[in-house]
Amino acid sequence: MSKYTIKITLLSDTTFGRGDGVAGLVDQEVEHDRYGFPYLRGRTLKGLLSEECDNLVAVLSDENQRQHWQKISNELFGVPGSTLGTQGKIHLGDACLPSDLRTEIAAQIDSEEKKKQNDKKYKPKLTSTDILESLTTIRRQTAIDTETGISADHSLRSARVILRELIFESNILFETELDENSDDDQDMLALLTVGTLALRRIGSGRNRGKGHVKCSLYDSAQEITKNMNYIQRFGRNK
Amino acid sequence: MKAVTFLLHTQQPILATSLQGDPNSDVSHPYIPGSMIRGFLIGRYLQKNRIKVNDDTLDIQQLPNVKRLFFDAKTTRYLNAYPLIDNKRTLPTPRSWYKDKGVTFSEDKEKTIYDFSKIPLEEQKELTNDYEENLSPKLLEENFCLVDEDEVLLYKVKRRINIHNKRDRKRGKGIEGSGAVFSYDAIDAGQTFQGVVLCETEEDQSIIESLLQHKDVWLGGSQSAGYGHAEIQLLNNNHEYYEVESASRERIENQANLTVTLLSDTIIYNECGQIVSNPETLRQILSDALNQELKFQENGIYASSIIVGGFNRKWGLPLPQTPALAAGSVFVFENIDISSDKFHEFLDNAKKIEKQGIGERRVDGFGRVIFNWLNEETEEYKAKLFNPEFQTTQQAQNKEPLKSESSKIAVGIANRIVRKKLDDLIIQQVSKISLTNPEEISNSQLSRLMLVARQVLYEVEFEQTKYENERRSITELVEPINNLLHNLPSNALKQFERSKLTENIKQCLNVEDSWLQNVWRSNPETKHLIADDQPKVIIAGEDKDIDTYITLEYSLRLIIAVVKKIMKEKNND
Repeated sequence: MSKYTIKITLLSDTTFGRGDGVAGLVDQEVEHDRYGFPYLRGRTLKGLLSEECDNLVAVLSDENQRQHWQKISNELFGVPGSTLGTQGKIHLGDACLPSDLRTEIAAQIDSEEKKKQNDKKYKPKLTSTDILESLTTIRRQTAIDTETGISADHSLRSARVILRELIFESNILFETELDENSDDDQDMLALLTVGTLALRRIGSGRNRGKGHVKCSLYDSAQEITKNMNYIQRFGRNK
Repeated sequence: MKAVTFLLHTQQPILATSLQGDPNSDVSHPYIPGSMIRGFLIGRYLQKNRIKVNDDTLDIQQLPNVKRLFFDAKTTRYLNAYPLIDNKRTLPTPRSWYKDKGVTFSEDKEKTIYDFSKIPLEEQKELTNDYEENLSPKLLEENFCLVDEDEVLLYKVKRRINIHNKRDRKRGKGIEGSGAVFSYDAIDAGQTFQGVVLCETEEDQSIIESLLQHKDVWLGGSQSAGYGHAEIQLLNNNHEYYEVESASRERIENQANLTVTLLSDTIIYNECGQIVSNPETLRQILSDALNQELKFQENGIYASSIIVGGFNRKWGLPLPQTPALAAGSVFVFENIDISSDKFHEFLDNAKKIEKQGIGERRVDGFGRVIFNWLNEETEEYKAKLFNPEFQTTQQAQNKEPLKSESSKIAVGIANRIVRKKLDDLIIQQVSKISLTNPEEISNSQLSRLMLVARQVLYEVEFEQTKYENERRSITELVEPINNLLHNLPSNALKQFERSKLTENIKQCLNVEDSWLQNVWRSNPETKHLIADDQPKVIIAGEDKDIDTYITLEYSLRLIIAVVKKIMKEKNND
């Protein structure tokens, strides 16, 4: 099994939306786990990566070249419909904060909850809300009425944003070991590398200033996105 | 029974789609179906033996093992993987168990469960009509249980509901015809399930064990996108396996009644060849299989039906949807009169049924049946929820020190928590403070004070970005304010003194005996956040206390806030 890691560094505040809000507090809540750690779902990340790869393949000028890389993209991400033949080779996990930190804090919250269970009057020193609030903040915005130039009525909305500079990691697993001598396997890795580099905007409002990120791909030893061989490999003629 | 038992630790949510919910949602079973386990083992077998897609896998000449291992329920059966608690595989909660309406189970307090299959009808009526008991029976919501005499541990599978949306690839957003919002209700990560594969020979056992050696597996839907990852842990299989504690012989011999419990969904045909979920058909099937005419006891049926389906990944198509008797259904039959010479035959038949199951799709774990599972004398059980013993705590005990990145985030979290608490304290403090003679001081003097305080605040914030040994001292930093107060013209000095602002400012700026520390210790929201006798927040071993610079910063913020408040109040007047 081959294992790679995508690291996503937030360069601006970002909302990994989950499609709902919290009544009376925020209109757009970020996806977070039971300990309050925000994360980006693997399904969303796969959609974003495959979209970037498709965009890169689509601009290749040579028809044969394009068809070859489209085939590689289909092998890598799969095509819609679930059959053994069309299944993607990649397995993407959720992009989360570092696991050692999450485990440590989760244990702390669990222990506080346990104390609370044993003694109803006990006030926990740390809760999941503390963690969520310390890693995020709430941004509010209105729409501007184009005629009056002032904020439009009933347009005030609030969204939770994850604070910039945090680094999220997602594991990428291939069920079989990628072969260094196989052209197809190396092409897949090349496509994944350029797709990762091309991914610059994630989450809600990503065309409006939020969600600017820097993505990099690592294998167990080094950063692959710095390896020019993979980048130059993409788009080459077969 | 020979069996291969193994654990599945879910690393990601598992989407084992059942036929529930609306068309835009996928609702998962609360367990990992046997068909899913069979599917991934077939995949591994094909890969291991380099069998191609177009090979005839059912050709016994070429591939003698395939049919026996994967397609013949008489030789191999892949049971559903049910949750594991207390190192034991749970079983579906019997549908004859009722609780009083409004009762919710907890991890610490035991609540009563009534087994109506054991309570005679008259007593059931008494229970419901009795003034004291006044039982209003309701079925249990917890799907799985572990029974130990009259004590029961209940388990409700943790689920994760995610909402996803489909986007049009070209437009980059959902559009009509190519966009939808849908939800996945999946089994949550971090749970353990025990899978069982029943087989007949040691050879089959070892083949299946060899397929389970590779620990990473992906199960169910959306495998490439954050769902389905589980880790396999093979268990020791050198002993006879029973789905319940004891062998069928003991259970049947020791009890007068015959109670049949379904341990998985059961698909049965009636005599016309139609699939039905009818208890009468089940009675006929059991009577034929046991060679003994069975008769339902009055009020002896506690069953419900369900629609079952599935998905064949090879075909890329869903399986036919059929009705089935739901797992946990209980059927109580009248005392059977078996003469001693027939009793052995009856026991053999019962044992065979427990081993082989009944009905269709037995290879996928359907049709598991158990006779006299529970003690017939136990009418009531004391039940509580399983306490997961906080697995994360155990994980953290084997910890290594945090990486520098994680440690930095932990410090950041602690810092933000401290500052949030301090912000709240300031708001409370400002509302409490009121000057005795606010009208005695002019707005221009207040503005002068605010300007200096702001300047100092800016400097204090800047100093905090430096290393501790490079920072300027507190005395140096507060000097501009002290200078202001000492060099005031006589008129301004009188204004400050009459309004008692000087006194308050000096009190505020005393970082040694700080108001902040005192308020922190007395406020109900913060007084529990004390470690080593100091106000402190500890996150993952990284702590953040209130040092003198933070004290000064918040003191300045308080001064500015109070000044603003006075100006606002004066303006309102």
